[in-house]
Amino acid sequence: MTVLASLGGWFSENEALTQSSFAACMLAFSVMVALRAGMFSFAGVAFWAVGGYTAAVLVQHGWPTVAAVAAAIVLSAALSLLIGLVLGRLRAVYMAMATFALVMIVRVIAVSWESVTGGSTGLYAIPNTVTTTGVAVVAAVSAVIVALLDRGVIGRSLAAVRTDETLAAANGIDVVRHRIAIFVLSGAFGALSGAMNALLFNTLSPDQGGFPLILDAMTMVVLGGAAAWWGPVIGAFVVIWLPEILAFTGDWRAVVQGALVVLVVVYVPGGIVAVVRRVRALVVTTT
Amino acid sequence: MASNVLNAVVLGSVYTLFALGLTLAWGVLNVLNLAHGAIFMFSAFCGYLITQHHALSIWIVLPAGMLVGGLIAAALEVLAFAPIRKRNPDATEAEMAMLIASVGAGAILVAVVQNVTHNEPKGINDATFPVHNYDILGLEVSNIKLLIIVLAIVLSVALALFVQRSRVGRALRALSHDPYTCGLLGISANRLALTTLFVGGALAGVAGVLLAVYQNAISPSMGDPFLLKAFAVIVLGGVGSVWGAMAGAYLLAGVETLAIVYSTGTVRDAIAFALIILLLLLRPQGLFARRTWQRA
Repeated sequence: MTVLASLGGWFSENEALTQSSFAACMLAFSVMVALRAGMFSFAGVAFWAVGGYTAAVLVQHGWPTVAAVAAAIVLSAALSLLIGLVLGRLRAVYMAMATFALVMIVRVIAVSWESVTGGSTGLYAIPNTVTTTGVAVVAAVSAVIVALLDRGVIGRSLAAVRTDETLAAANGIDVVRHRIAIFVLSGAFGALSGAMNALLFNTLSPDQGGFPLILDAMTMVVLGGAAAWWGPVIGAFVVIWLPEILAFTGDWRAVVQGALVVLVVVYVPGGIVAVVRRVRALVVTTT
Repeated sequence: MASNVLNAVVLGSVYTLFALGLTLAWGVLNVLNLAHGAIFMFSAFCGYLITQHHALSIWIVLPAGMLVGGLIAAALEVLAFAPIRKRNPDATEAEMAMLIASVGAGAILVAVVQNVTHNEPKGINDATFPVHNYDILGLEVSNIKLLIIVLAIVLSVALALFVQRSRVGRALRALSHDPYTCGLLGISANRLALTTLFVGGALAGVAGVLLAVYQNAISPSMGDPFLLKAFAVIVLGGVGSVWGAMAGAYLLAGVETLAIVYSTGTVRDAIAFALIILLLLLRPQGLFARRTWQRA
């Protein structure tokens, strides 16, 4: 208990980073669930901005937090469905390209739709209506959803869609429909993450999204690994705390992070999850 | 009117030079190199570095930019793409891993320039290429515009002939069709991959230096919009097609110029995205792609 208490004390001392980490978990889940269905999608990063702006603007207009976040999710899910209908049947690289383009076009809209988004300066004085406990609970619920996706019929269908489309189709699994459903879920997670972030930190600007956020989301999933729900969680915490850990690198942090992504992707495919599983398998077989 | 057409052709020429490397790497190696925009930017930045204190001729700055772009792309192949291909027997997984690695590599280049310039816009020394305007039948034409157009056409025609006629080009097309059989026939996939990425990076380098001289500005994020435009160009022209990329680039530039003339700047940026979605929906193989094996 004292251990937990001291840990709690440590986290509350670094409250902003803790909140940020929990919010980032949903962004990482958004990329991860798409990967679980064999899709390479950056759409979660685009919907991070869509969800963030929607929730922020609605709360500024006096909406209750829960309703604003729900609206952000519903709007993003609906947009995801529309885009998913087009992109659902695309191969991995095409989908990556199209969703990368989506991230950039959302940024363009965020910069130019000044009356709503505040242009390139963005929104400020967003009411701070989400608590640390609140975002932790949301992250926990999201983690449960992600973990459940691996179980039962859904889990096996997704595994089939991911590993062998033809085999999946031959077994009566509607590949495209599964992909579209996961694409919508991925968009919803992205929006949830963006909404939490906007309501935790008062400000939201176009520069917070875009290419830097793509790098962050990629680092989380690549570092943590996409094979289990706890991979992206570890990844999210590591990426958010990286500036603290790498404080000595100063301005060169982004360079180190970029190099880290390249190194992990080349030499540690599967990230931390794969390493843990390999070690566990080694221990189990030797004893 | 005539000046709008001229601007569209200049824009299309820059799009062509930028998109060629991307479409070639994608068509031949199945690599979507998201660091391409950063390589383009970094070459222009190196042009700024070498002309910072002393002006140099454009005929030194351009080859230098080419070399920088080519070498970075080649380094990416040697340090990341080749090891990934070697370690991932599954093609789709390798494609995704290469894509992620390119995001990381692009971030490194952008961060380096951000740190060195402290986010202040820089330009290539004016004396590198003194801009003159000529009056041709009432149309004002500058020498930099002419240089961009001529270089884009010469280089892309040369590349198209190289891919269609030369021995290496034939090997490239074979590789895009069937890497396994290529291996059996003694074609070294790794050496061809290196060649492809070097050539693509060098073309991005030319585009970067030319654009930096033309607009007299270099910023860390200058590659991002070009990446979006290049996607539209590639989807229009068909992945891996040199002629397709040229046609797509001039078509996109034309439509964008029309949009600027008749509406606002926001619409212009949305066109590329709308084209991507529309074409993926209606004609995923591109407007000009004839057969699937003609990917290079």
